[in-house]
Amino acid sequence: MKQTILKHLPTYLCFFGYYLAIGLVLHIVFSFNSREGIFLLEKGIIALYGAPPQLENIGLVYPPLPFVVNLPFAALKLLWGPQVVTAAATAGLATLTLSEVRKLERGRLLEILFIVVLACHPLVLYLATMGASSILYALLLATYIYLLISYAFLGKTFFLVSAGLTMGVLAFVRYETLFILMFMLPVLHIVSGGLRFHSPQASWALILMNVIPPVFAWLSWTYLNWLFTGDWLNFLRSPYAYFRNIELFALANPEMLQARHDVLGSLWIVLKKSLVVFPLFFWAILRVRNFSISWFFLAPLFALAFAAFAGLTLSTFEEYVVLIPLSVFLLAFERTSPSRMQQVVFAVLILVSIPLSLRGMLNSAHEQERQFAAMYLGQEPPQVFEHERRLAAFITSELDPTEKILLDDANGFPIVAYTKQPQRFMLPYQYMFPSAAISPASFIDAFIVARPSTPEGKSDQMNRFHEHVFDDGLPRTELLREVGPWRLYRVVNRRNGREALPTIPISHSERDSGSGIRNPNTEARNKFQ
Amino acid sequence: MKGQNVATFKPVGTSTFYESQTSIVDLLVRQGLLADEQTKLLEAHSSVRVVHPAHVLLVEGFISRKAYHDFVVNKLGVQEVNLVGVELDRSVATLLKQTFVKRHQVLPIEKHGKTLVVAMLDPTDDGLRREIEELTGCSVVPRFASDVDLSWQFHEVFGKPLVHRAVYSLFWTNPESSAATVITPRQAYVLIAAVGVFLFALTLAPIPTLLVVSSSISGFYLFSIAFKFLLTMAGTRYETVRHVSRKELRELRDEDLPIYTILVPIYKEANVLKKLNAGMLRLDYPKEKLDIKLLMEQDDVETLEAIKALETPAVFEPVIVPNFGPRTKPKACNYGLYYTKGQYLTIFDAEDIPEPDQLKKALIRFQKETDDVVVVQAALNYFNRNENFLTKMFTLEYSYWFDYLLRGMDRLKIPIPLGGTSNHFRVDRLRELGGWDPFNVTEDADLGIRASARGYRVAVFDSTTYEEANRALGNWIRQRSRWIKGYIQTWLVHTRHPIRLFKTVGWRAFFGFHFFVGATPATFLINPILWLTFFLWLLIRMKWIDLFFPPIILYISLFNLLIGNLIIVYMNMLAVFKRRTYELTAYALLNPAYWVLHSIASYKALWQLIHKPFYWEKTTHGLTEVGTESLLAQQ
Repeated sequence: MKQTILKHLPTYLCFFGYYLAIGLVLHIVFSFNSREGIFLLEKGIIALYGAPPQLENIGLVYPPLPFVVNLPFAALKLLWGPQVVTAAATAGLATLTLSEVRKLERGRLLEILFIVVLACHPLVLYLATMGASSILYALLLATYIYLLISYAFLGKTFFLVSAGLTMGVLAFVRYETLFILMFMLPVLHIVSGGLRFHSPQASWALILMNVIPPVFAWLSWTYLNWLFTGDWLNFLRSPYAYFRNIELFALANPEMLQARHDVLGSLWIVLKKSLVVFPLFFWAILRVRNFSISWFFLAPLFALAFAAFAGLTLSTFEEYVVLIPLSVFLLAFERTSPSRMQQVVFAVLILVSIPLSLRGMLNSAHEQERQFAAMYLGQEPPQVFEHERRLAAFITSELDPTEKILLDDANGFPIVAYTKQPQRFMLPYQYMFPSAAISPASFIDAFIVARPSTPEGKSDQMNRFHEHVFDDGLPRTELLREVGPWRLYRVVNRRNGREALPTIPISHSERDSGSGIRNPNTEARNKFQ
Repeated sequence: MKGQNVATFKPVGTSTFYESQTSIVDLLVRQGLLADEQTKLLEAHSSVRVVHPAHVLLVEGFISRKAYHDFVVNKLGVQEVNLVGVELDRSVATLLKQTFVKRHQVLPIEKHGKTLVVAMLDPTDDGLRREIEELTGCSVVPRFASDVDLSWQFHEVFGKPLVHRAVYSLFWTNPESSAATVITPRQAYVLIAAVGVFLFALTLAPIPTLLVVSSSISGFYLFSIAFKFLLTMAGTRYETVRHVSRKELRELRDEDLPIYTILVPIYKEANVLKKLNAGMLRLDYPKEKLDIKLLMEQDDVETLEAIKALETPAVFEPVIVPNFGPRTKPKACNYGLYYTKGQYLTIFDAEDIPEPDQLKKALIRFQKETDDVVVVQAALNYFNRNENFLTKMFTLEYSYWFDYLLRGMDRLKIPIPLGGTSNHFRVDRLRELGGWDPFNVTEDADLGIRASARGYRVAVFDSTTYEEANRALGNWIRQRSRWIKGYIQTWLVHTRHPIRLFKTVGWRAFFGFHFFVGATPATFLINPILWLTFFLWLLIRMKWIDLFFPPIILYISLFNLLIGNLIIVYMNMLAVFKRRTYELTAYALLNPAYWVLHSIASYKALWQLIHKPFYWEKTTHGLTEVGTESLLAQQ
């Protein structure tokens, strides 16, 4: 074990350093921050420094592991922490891939080709540098399949128990693990007979070993939901529920809308994207000598197709990166050694994945993928979260640190993350939040609200409680700052002796006509004006 | 002869039914009870064993005891004497030297003037009779006594000093390794001080004190789970490693094999004798080099009679342990150790069915290891696994224990508490270690740890002995409470000098010992308290409980509850894979119910440790309704 680690350590460290360097340059030099990375870190910061500090502040809505792995960086308030995590995970995936490549009888060329892919493939770089949880999913999924195959062929229960536990961990990374499991259950039953399990009881035991850890994980999750929120299914029923949000985004994507409830349409989308991201996968799967094992490898694709069918996926390109290591694992089962011609095709299929993926990303429905692809081609990186950064800087420098600011961090999380001072905010995890949102003047010193017409503003709870709050503020509040879609209102005369700051006259130019329901607060304010 | 049980052995002269110059072997051949070709074998084996051929006839299974008895008594008309429970005149019984008596299976039982009545296994042996006459100066009247009767009297007459040693030897030579003192004064002071400090702190600051307690328990469980996980993963990684190859087995030559002693302690288990004999007969080891000793208690008349009545040839020698001290398995084993002829020794229970090549595998494992390996442990499993819920859970537990945990401990060089049977020793080292502790009710576990504490190693090897899983709840609780009591005894014994232990075995083995031997009973004792707290909290949501679970403790406790339990159950599930007993997989999910039984047994164990520390809760064997035929056929 120690020898294996030492053998692969140089490869790991090289990739880790390479990915981390790119991630840090993007984050620190170009301020190209990942939305999810900052989100994870903000939740970590409020878990450790919130009022009160408690792990359940992460929300119990999204799977917990991505938050947990970022906790050390949240403790240090290092906003580039998620980049370290993704660089480490991608380096792990790269090392696993290359270690398997080295076992193949294809010589140095194959190794070089895969080093090129792992170092230059835009999606690999995207996952490695963006601080998002997708890479954890890809790494664990590839590891799971690798371990399962290893068990099937080597028979050591070490691999089986590791595979099962990996599946359990995977359930804490993505809820989509359920789709993988739904596919794996029949596959395990069908395939087990062709491997080393010749009785129904053996097949049943194998299935149980794969199913129990994720089932336990989900049961634990429902228990924790009940313990901390009082609702077993809070993660499904919360207004911020993962699938609810995904569904909203998916329905906004015409391609996904079309594929919804359409079996062939869903399969076609997955097939198309797989071919774009790594066409070698299909070459490898067609050349495998024991077709029954290919079912294991198809699991991620069927899971994606099922999610597309249910309308529960963003269908981003990043979800297909797992095909790169899976292709390598598949090559170990090739029927015959490839001819010279086939080797050329093989190399072309590997290399062509880079421009194909780039082109796919440029047309992606996911903005961050498009931006990354543009940057990859040399364009100036966009300033991500510029407004939030500026507002955070204002809060940090201009407001009294004891002032409590109400903010719905479902979308305003970057503001909390950039201030690095969660204790200054009244956030939804605090039980006083709803009361404070209804009657801010009684509980807090200021509040931040997003423009209702923007995506941030649509789900902002302040907008839900007070229809025209963005435009008009509330009685006894004054507009202190407006940055991009955000407005910072302060409660007037809540505290004596605090520093007076210049206020901004309220502009009504962008007021939404809304539903026409009259807001008594707005009326009152207008009367006074 | 004196006492109430004394029989009168009147001198009636020598029987004329057989020709005095013909040996018993020839007579048996003539009678068709022994094949001609067996005689040479018998002669050779007798010279190897240096005992009377009649004895070899019986202990190597040339002829059944019943057939031999019937031939001598009914056919030859030799008068029989029953010596079990009879009190002999010691001055008469010791007329012959102990070695002579043992070697020739004879015993003077009565003297009338110049006439000596001698109980003999082979009363037809005129040469032997003349030799006794020369030695004693008396005319000998031979009587037939079975080897069981002779053994009973032999050990009664000559065994008393040895049985004293068997009980007290360890205590005399190394009192700190003996559980005869349950808790040393120093340990008692530490315990009293700890309780005192706790009570004082509880009075002074109850909430912080209980907070410390809850933190300690959470931390303890966390480490315990992590430790078991680590052991299991190490075990799974090396499960397919074969310690002994088929080629190595084939290359072993019979003539090079040493004498191997097998001790089989047995008490009131007449019903398993046939099964035991079948298991021993199947061992792939030259019979003349097997020294199988059936260790019995003097008052176990039922088993003694059953042996005499065995109609099938048996391959063991009865050793009847004199009645003294605790009637425990370790005492019997220590006593048996004094009569051990082998260079290597193992212990089997009466109902055990070892794999036929186990002895050879153990030998090879010893040969491949360094000299510091003093004992190698085979795996134990059950042949009646599917009988009921208990047997299923027991099989899961044993499979996990022997196939994964012990392998993990072997790999990580953590002291291995030996299992009840199928531990194979180097006899010289075993004697050096002082044998088993008769005051410890899990003497095997204790011996494994003692060996490690003296700088020796315990290893495992891939062979299995199949036993009978306990199918009755009361019987199971009795057995388990003994095991748990024994583990507590073992932990107490080896923590008398913790610093010395740490220095001898190193940090890994030191913590391994505490988390394996100490933590096992501790978790069973603590579990009910935690379960009760948890269910109370679930039912009535007592707010005050929150005081003892601040965030970090709450998270650790939640991890233990949710992930820890999953890990333990899941590790148990994988136990079925090595042995392909896949039908048991789902039963692993019922482990929490099984843990409840463990906790009940653990409280009984604790109670007994205080009130009857050395009491040996006897496990009844032979309750199963499952036959061993299919298993034997598989092997």
